[in-house]
Amino acid sequence: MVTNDLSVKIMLLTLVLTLLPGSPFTNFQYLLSEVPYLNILNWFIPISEIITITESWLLIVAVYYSILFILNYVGILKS
Amino acid sequence: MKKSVAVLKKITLSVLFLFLVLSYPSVKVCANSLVLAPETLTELQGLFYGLEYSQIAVDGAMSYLVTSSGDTSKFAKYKQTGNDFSDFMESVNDLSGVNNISLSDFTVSTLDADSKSDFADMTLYNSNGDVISIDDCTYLTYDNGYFSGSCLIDDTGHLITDSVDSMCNAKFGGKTLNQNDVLQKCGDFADHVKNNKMLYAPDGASINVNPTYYVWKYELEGGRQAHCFSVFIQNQYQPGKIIPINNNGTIYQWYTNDLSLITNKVTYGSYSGVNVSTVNRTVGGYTYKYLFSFDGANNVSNATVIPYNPGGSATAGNYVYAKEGYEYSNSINGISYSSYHLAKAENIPDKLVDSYSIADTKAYCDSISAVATVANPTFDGTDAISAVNFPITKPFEVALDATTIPFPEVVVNALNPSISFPISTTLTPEVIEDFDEIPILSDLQSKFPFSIPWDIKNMLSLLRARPEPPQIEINFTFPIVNYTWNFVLDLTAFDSIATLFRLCFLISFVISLAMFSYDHFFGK
Repeated sequence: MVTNDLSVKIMLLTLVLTLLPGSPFTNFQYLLSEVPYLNILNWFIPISEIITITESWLLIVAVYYSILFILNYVGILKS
Repeated sequence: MKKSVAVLKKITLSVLFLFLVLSYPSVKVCANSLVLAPETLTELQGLFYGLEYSQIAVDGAMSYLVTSSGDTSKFAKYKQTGNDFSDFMESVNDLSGVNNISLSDFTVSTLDADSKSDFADMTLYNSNGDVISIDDCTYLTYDNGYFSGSCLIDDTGHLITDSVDSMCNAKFGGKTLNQNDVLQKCGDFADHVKNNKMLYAPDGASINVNPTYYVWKYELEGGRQAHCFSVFIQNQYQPGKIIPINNNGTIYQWYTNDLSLITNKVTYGSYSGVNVSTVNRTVGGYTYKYLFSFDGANNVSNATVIPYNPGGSATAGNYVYAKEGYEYSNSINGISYSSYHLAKAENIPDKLVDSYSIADTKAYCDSISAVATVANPTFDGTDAISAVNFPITKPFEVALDATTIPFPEVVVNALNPSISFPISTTLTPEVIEDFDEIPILSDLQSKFPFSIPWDIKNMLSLLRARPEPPQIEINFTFPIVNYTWNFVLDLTAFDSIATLFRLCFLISFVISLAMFSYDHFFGK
């Protein structure tokens, strides 16, 4: 249950987000998608698998640091 | 204290990484994409079983051992996409002369076929079994609430295939493959389908003995070939029908409409007491259960009885019972009918099958390429938020009248359709109870600077591509002698070595990542 106060804050936050500019990198992404010989590069190097593993690794590391942050915040890790 | 903190950190990180390894499905996908060549596995299998053989022969998609006496102990090798092969194995076990096949004999790879160009280098067949050009085919995407995805339509208007993934998963496993099927010409297969399968219209009004089938043959890496045989039931044939097939004149095998084989086979001539029990099948995101009982079965007491061909030429006493009121067949007793009536049970009592929830009047919007508009949208509980465009990031349901939208024109889809909601200028003191309706987090992905992590992720993802061996043609011109030398660099022959190289590369990467992780987190 959230009070009306919070709902107004959320609304303001949403409005602020609408004022922010969109990602400026979208065009670069389009350009990168046109790069030739990606198939050949993938034939030599398992880029897809590497990206997948790296994403998983980063996810785990992010979770790890989040847990450390929480434990620090709670005071368990303070020595 | 300091020591215990370090131990706690180690345990936390170890548990997280263990969770990653055990649960993340991409790890399995990665492993599957790096399999060895089938003939290599065949050779290893020969060594493992201590089989004496003189050579390894490759015949299309099959590689097998040839003994010194000339006998062939065949080990079928197929590549499919993302399947646990359980259905397929059931079929393969029917292969005569094939021994010692286990699930480990099968390899999995990903074959990208989600655009028309992906079929360009394949041999395509139309519904007559003729080889056709890719230019004769039409490529489209569709979503009729039951099947969805992309497909190729041949020059006769029939579907050739959906994506490799959905076709092989949904239909390939249901076809009984035997040795002859694999090696048969496509035209023969067409006759096989026409002679042995019958399809039923949902209302029993007409019967189509010419099913739309597609025979899809593709070349795997290294020149090996594989066939995908399947029969496609157009969307006027509702889910839940069973397709009988008479394999050899004595055994009837039963298939659901997506051609998944029902394991408890009905034996011709002794069908009384036969009970074909539950079959689970997941197609297009739906899980269906089929429960069949036939005349004389032990557990028909709860069945809804559908009189079989009451006004036709059926032999008295031959009834087919369908607990759902949907499943039926007319060849249980080998009787062929020219006219029949299959009544769909009304007021189906006590659905013993807890699914079968195909919604005829709904299309599920889950793909991209068109935008569905919603008239008079309502957004309960959000009156307090106004003048904001809410980007919808989740699939949503749109009620459609399935009877008025013919397949395959139902291309409903909506990834991110932007829908403007009516503006309310009053802030009412209502309570927001559902945070899922507030799209702040989704906005973060597209608003700078919060979008940077997603930008990096998207840019890296663009480097993904289907691995293809280099085939580069370079022309050297010597003007003095007026001669042009065409140099073609084609490394296709090294495909299997490249697979091994990628595997080694990936292993090295994982080891490096592990070492880096240890140094970074626990190093001194």
